[in-house]
Amino acid sequence: MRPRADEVLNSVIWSFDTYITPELEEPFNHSLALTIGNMLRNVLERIESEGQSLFDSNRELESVLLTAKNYINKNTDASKNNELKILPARIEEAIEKQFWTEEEYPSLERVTEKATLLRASLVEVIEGLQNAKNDLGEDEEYKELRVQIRHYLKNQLAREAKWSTEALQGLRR
Amino acid sequence: MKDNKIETSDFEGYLLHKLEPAKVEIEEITKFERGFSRETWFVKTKINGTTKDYTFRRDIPGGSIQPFPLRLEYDIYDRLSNTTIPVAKTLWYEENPTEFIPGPDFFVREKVEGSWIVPNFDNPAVEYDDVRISACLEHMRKLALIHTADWKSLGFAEIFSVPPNAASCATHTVERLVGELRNFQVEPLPVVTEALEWLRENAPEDSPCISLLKGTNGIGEEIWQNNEIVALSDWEESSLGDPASDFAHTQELLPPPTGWSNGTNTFHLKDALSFYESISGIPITEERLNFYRVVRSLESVLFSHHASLPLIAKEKPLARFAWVATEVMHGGEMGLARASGILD
Repeated sequence: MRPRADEVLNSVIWSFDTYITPELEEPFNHSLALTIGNMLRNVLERIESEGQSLFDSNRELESVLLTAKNYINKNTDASKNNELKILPARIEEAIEKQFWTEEEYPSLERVTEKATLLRASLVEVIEGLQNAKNDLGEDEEYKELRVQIRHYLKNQLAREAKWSTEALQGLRR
Repeated sequence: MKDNKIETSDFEGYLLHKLEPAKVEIEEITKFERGFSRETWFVKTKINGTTKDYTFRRDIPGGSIQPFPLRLEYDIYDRLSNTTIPVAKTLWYEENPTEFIPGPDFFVREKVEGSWIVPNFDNPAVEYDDVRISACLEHMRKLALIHTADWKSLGFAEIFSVPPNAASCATHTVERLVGELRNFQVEPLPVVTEALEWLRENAPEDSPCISLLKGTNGIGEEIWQNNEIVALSDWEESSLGDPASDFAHTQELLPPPTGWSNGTNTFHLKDALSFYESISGIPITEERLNFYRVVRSLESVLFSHHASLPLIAKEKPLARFAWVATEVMHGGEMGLARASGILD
C-alpha cells in the first residue's frame, strides 16, 4: 500500500524539477519541461482533492437543482417560456440517475459522469431562467434562485482553482 | 525525422525536392521556443550559393490549440503580403508533406530579421518609460494600419464572418464565439451559460466601423527591429469587428493605470487611445475596451476547451495542451465570473 500514488508522484516531481529541468538547455525542451512539472503538480493535487471536490460539488448542485425544480413547478404558468415546462422532469432524471451501485467504489470516471449530467441539467435551468427573465425577473424567489446558482458556480470555481492554478508554481512554459 | 523533430537533412531533402535547385545547404535550424499553439522553425539556407532564410509553420503534436485552421492563418498572411501592413511574405502552403517532412501540413514564409523583444521594455526603472511609450506609439501606428485596411477589397469577407453592421459588432462577435464553441463542446459549461446573459445585455452598439482585427497582439506577437515593428505575427485570433477588441488583446503595450512617465508628463491609456484616434480616425472608448476584455475571457474559454480535445481523444498532444485546458481555462472562466456577478 505504501508508498501511495501521491507519495510516488511527489518524489517524481522533486526529481524532475531538481535534476532534469535545469539541465535542459534547448529553449523549447526547457519550456516544455516547465509545463510538464506543473502538470505533474496538477495531477498530484487532483489525486489528493478531486474526489472529495466532485462529491461536494454534486451534493451542492443537487440541492440547487431541487430548489430550481420546486420553483419552476410553481411558476411554469407564469412564464410564456414553454421550455420551462419540461425542466422539472429533466432535473428529476439527472438527480435520480445512478452511475454506480452501492456495492461499488465509485471511480473518478463515474463520479465525473454524474457531475457532467448534473451540470448539463444546470445549464438547461440557467437558460430556461434567462429566457423567462422578462416574465419572472422581478419575482424575489426568482432572484434568490439566480443568486443560489451563482453561489454554486463561485464555490465550484474555488474548488477547481486548487488544481488548476493554486497547485502550479513558477513559470508555466 | 524522428519523433516530430525536424532534422537538417529533412529540410535539405525537402527544399531540394520542392525548389529543385542544384544545391541546398542548411546552415542553421532553430525552433522558436515561444510557440504557443503552433510551432515555428527558422531555417537558414544557401540555395545555389545564395543565402535565403525561411520560416516553416505548422501545428504542434495534438493539432492546434486554437480552433483556427493553419490554412486560414496562411490565407491571412497571403492577403496582407502586398499591403502596407508589415507581415512576413508567404511563399507556399504545403498540403502534401512529402516523405522528407512527414506530419501535418505546414506553410513557408520569408523570414523577417528582428526580435520579439523590445530592448529594456521590461526594465522597471523609470528611465525606461520612454522606451515603453515609444513602443506603445509604434504599436498604435500599426494597429491603425490594420484597422483602416480595406478588408473587403483584400478578400477578408471571403474567409471571415462579417457583422451585419457596425452597431452589431459586439453581439455578432459573442454569437460567433458561442457558435464556434458549440461546434466542439464536449461538456456543459455553466459559468459560460450564466455569463452569456451579461455579455448579451451589455454588448455595446456604438462601434464606429467594422475593421480587420489582428486578435492577439503586442509584446511576444510582433517582430521588432530598431524600435519599429517590421512584421506583425500570430494572426490566429484574427476576425472582423470592432477595433476596440484588439486593444483588449494587447499584451503589455498599453500603459498601466499609473501610466508611464517621460520626465515631464505621464502617459496614460487615454493618451495612447487619443494618439491612435488622431491617426486612424477611430475613437476607442474605455467602455467598449472593457467589454471586449470580458469577450477575451470567452475567447480563452473557447480555445482552452478546444485544447482539451486531443487529450480526451488520448492522442499524443504536447503537455502544453493540458496546461491550456486547465489553468488557462480556469482563468477564462474566472474572467467571465468576475464580469457577470458570479464572483462578488
